[in-house]
Amino acid sequence: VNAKPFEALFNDNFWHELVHMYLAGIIVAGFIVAAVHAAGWLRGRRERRHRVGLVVALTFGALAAPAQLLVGDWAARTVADNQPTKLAVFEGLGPTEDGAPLHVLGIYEDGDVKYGIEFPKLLSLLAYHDPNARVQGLDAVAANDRPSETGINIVRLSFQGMVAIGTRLAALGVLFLWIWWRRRRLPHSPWFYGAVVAAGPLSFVALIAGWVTTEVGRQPWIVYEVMRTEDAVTGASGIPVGYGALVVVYVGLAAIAAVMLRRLARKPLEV
Amino acid sequence: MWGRSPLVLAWRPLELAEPGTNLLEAPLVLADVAAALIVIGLTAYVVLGGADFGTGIWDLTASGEHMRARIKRSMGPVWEANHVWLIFVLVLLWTAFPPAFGSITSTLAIPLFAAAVGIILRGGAFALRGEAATMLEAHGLGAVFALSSILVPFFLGAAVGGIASGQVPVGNSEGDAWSSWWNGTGVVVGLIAVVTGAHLAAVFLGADSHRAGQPDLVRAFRTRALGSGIAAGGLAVVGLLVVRSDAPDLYDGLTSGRGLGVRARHGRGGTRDARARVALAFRAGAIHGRGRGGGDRGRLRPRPAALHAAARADRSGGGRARRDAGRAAGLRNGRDGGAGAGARLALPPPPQRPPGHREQRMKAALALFVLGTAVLVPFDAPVALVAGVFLLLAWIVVGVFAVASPERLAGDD
Repeated sequence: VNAKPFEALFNDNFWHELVHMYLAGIIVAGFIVAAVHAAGWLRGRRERRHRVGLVVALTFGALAAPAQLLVGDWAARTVADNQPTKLAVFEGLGPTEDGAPLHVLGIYEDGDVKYGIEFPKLLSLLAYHDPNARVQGLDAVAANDRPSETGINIVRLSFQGMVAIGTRLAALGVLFLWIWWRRRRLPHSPWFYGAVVAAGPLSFVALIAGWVTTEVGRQPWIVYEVMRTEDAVTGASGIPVGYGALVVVYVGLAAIAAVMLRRLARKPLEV
Repeated sequence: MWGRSPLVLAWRPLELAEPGTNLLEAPLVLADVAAALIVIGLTAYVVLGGADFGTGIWDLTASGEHMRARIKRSMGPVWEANHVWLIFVLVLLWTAFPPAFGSITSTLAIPLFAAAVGIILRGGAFALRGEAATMLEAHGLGAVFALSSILVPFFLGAAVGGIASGQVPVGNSEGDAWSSWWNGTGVVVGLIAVVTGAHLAAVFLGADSHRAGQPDLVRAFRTRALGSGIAAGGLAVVGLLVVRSDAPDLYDGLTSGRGLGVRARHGRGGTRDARARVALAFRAGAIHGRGRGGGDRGRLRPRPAALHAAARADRSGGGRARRDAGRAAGLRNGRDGGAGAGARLALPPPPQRPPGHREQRMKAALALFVLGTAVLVPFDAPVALVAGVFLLLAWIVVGVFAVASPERLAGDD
């Protein structure tokens, strides 16, 4: 075997995924911490500790979210070049075509997106920066070399959910930065703080949706075009039991962590 | 090959030795280096991690708060850190010997999974124990901690026993999910792992009590070390009989050639100097592992149950080891004293800058964002992508200093 570990690690998909996930980490951490403080803000907490916690956390999220949109665009372009089938799955693009449209919402059925909102030529424009570029469709590969119809719908839902949440986070961030910079104050509207509270869990949903997009989107391959998932899966029995046990363990740990954090919040450590 | 100095280890093309060649003369192959690293990592985990688990047992059965405090002070700085060795071994096994990794993890999914859950619960209980508010909570967490301290080494040992007795064939889940490890050899090795860990822990804690000048605890841990040592030795003898009927191949390997030498040393060992043994166990365990590792090329049956090795080797004494142990203890001591020194750092008051600085910084951040967009989005050349990414990261960094600067945070609405 002539293994090339460094080429395997630093492959063509490594860099955009690294940067994309790196920013996602900053965004999730920023918005989750900000959400906790925004919830306190809505309940009338105004002391310095709260203000600093809110502003610092929100600043990281607000700065990283717009950058993430651009990095996401780079990631999509790389996917279009390296894994055209995966891009077709993102969009539910059945036939290969020039000037491919982009569908928002809708359901993929029988090789096409139904009930969606169509934007003509937008997919070609986004993926190749050319409205008339040819985009490879799902018909380019055999049906058993691409995700099932259900898989395609899962990927579309995750991908669009990620983009939708990411865009809203960026908009929220820009709003905060603008008010903070130009008016030299925090926003007054309770709607803003409500949006920040929602942004915490939503940013985490977007992160998971991104992983679902990339991992389900490449099915049925576990190593792209080399090894199928069905050939890699363990033959050990009782895996559902193990997963069930893990769920119980982690739910228990989460519950204990929540209890402990609340206890600490009631009686903070002496600093 | 093991006779060579590590200095001549060179990166050679992967080639397999002809059958029948004397392994000491055979060319070194990359697979041997990886295997040697795995044996070293496994030995370290058995000795250091084993002592870690064993300490959990002594913590449960501690005769008073005095002893519990000593345990906390001795193990506190390194507690739970030893799992890095397990991760090291798993990653090496996975990358260097993927078929072995797949065969072991699929057939032995049950004990390995149970051990993993035990490690999670143990770490969780350990982290939370200090926060317990009621006696009920403290007892519950203590029970979880102690139970997992026993179950984790048992299951890991049982997995090793299953591999050593040849119950794990190559292939995806080819062996039986239960009988591959729930058999004589597996159970015996599992028990030896638990008792060995307890012995190592008692030896180490005794040495640490001696260093701390607590003679009553030295006596207490000496008794525990002797008891667990005798138990481990007895189990090893019983285990040999079990292995003889359960896994004759393994028995032959243990009772002839290099394996015999180590067992002989084990037999005449005493319990003279508790402190020397922990460090020596580490060294001797590694030597023992080496002795066998070379002979098993190409077979998925690493005969050296390093657990046996450590259990046996730690009975002898030595000056070098004593020095090593002393040095290790000294290091720990230094860390104890230094802890908390950094906790009381006085923050200087933030420098007052004119507001114009902030304005400039914000504009600079915006410029970085616009520039990053202009470079990243329209171009596909790697240099443009790299520049674009760095400009966007710079936007975040400069932006944080512009937006959340100390002087702005200090101001009120």
